[in-house]
Amino acid sequence: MAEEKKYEGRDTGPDKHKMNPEEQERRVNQERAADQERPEKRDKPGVSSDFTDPEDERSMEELHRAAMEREEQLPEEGNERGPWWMYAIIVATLAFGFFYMGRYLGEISDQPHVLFTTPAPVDEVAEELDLMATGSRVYTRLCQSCHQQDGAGVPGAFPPLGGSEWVIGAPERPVYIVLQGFQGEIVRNGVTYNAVMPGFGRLLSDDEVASVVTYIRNSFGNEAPEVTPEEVAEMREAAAGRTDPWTEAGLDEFIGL
Amino acid sequence: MDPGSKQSPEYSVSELDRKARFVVLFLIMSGVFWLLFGTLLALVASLKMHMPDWLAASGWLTFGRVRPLHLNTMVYGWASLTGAGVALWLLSRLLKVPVMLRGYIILAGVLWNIALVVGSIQILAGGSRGIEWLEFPVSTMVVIVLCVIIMSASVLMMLAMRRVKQLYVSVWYLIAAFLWFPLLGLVSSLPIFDTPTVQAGMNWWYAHNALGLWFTPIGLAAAYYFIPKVLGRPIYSYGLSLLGFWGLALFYNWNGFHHLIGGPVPTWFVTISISASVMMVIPVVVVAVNHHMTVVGSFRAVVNSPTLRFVVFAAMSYTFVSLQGSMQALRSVNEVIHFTHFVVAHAHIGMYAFVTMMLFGACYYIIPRVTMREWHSKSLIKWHFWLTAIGVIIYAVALQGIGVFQGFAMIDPDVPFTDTVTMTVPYLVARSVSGILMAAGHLIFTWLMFRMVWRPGEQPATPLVWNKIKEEFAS
Repeated sequence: MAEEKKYEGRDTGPDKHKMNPEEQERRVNQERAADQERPEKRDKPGVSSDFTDPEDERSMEELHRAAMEREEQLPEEGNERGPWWMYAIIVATLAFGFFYMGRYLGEISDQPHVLFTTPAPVDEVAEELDLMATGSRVYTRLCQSCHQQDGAGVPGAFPPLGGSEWVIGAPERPVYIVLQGFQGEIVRNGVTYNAVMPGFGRLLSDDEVASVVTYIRNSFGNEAPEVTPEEVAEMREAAAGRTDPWTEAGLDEFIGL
Repeated sequence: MDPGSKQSPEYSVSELDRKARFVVLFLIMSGVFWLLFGTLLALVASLKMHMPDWLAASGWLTFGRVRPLHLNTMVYGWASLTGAGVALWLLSRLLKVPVMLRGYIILAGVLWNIALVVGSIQILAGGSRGIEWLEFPVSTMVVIVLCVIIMSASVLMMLAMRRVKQLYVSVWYLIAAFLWFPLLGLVSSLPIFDTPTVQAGMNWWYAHNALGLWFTPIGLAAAYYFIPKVLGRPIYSYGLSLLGFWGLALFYNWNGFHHLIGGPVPTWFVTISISASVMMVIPVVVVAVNHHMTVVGSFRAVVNSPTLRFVVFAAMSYTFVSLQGSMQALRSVNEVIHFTHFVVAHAHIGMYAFVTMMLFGACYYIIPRVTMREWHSKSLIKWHFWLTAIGVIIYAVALQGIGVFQGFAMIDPDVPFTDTVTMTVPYLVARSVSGILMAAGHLIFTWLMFRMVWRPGEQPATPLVWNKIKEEFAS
């Protein structure tokens, strides 16, 4: 169609007279000429006034002219090179990106965070086992809710650990109670206790049992020799197969006291 | 593009617009409905942030349901439906062929809306998938993706029957978007992401790419079309357009995993994503230079044209939000701002200040052409612009400002967690105020659209150009 070739389009957007004249000199002159023609065009009936219904009786040609009048053809793209600093940014970004990838790629493996958190070697931990520190953590996690932070227990519900002869006496008693638990009536300082303590044997390693027993034997005013993981391992082996909590009589008999 | 040298019969722009009219109007008006619904949900969710007891009695209106539904209706209702309408119109204009499969697209649009309604009820009833950006049940997502595939078929047919020799830069982006989104939607709906870590990976691959490979191409295509079209000035550089497009295509797909920094995923997985996120600086700067150099010297026109006001605001927001995103991806920055309001504001700059404002601008250009009518009030358009622009600026400044302090407070072990929450409350109120401003803008926009489509009252006869009031317009 002939109209497609070249037309003086009226823009919906800018007012060309208000644009920067240095930049747009050629175009503005062109537009100015076009603008002067426009009032006549606009006065034609059907094109711009009574612009109501698209299904009206206007011909396709009129509709098309109405559409073309209000917009310009999409101009072809230019072919500028862009400012130098844009290329500087591109080079710097590439350099940073590749540096970052090289520096922080880590090991290609299915291990999470192999780069930022190195897993500590296991045997080193065993050598440097701090019984009191580990024991304190285990106590806070598992024991404290009943026996309380100060090891005093709750009168009538949970017996105290501080000053308890069972705790500071033979190491077997506390170890077995931690491993398999305890039930039955006992009397401490004139108060009767009859609660069931669950066993933690499945939950805790030998290191942890040794730590927590050592911890209670040396906290809350207690003082007693430490218990080693090797001793715990032996005792665990000796009572292998037992899952029920101990009773006072049963435990005495088993230990042979 | 070189018209006049075609052997096949050509359609004039008004014929193309006329054929596209119903499809484009249907998609855009559906989108506007979901915009209003999503805005309502946004206001409820925002008010609940500082009035936690409000509307808390009903399970259907708890924050955990309202907020995901806000996101999903805005993304799959407003931005996707309106974006698809804008994209189809642009392609029809740029390929000089009518929109194909129009009946099927209408059918797809109806199904899409039904799926949105069903999905919305399911989210409010507590049936969310619990995956960010994918809270809609799989059934809703599958229907939406099938509807997009119908549109993709239409788009590919239009491409095959094109009546232009050279494909304009907007066409590259739009064709790519219509190929990328079905892939994203289908893969994310597959029942293969069972383990939590893999699901998290899929989640952020999908969510980040839905923004970068669906909404961003549509937004940039609109900018590449409307800026030179309205200004009558050529795009600064074809070469930079190429570089910008292929940079996006190459780097964006890797970006999503920077959301998993600190998560239980392999280091290389996150590192590659961070590198790619930083590399996004290249296409973003190139596109920004290309757009800026096209607009420079014509800022007057930007002020005068309703379309360009929105489009240029959106294009500037794109540059800003993308550079911010590259910076946020770095581990040291992410450590502070992750899990704070900073990221929420960042997402809104992307989806609102860029995508939504671009769609508003596109509507101001497209609707008069497909309806053959004129916007009836320039002052209302100005109100719409300033309410939404100021609204989103308040939103971004308030939440990103406090987000940084919140982040530092959260990594300080001496600060109780409650303090990191209470310190944000005044800024959450500012967020609600900004939400009310934006909601008012949306109501104005809806009223203008309603006037255009159902035209109660009189219509002005001439195109609306600000600062250039015609005598006939005054009467």
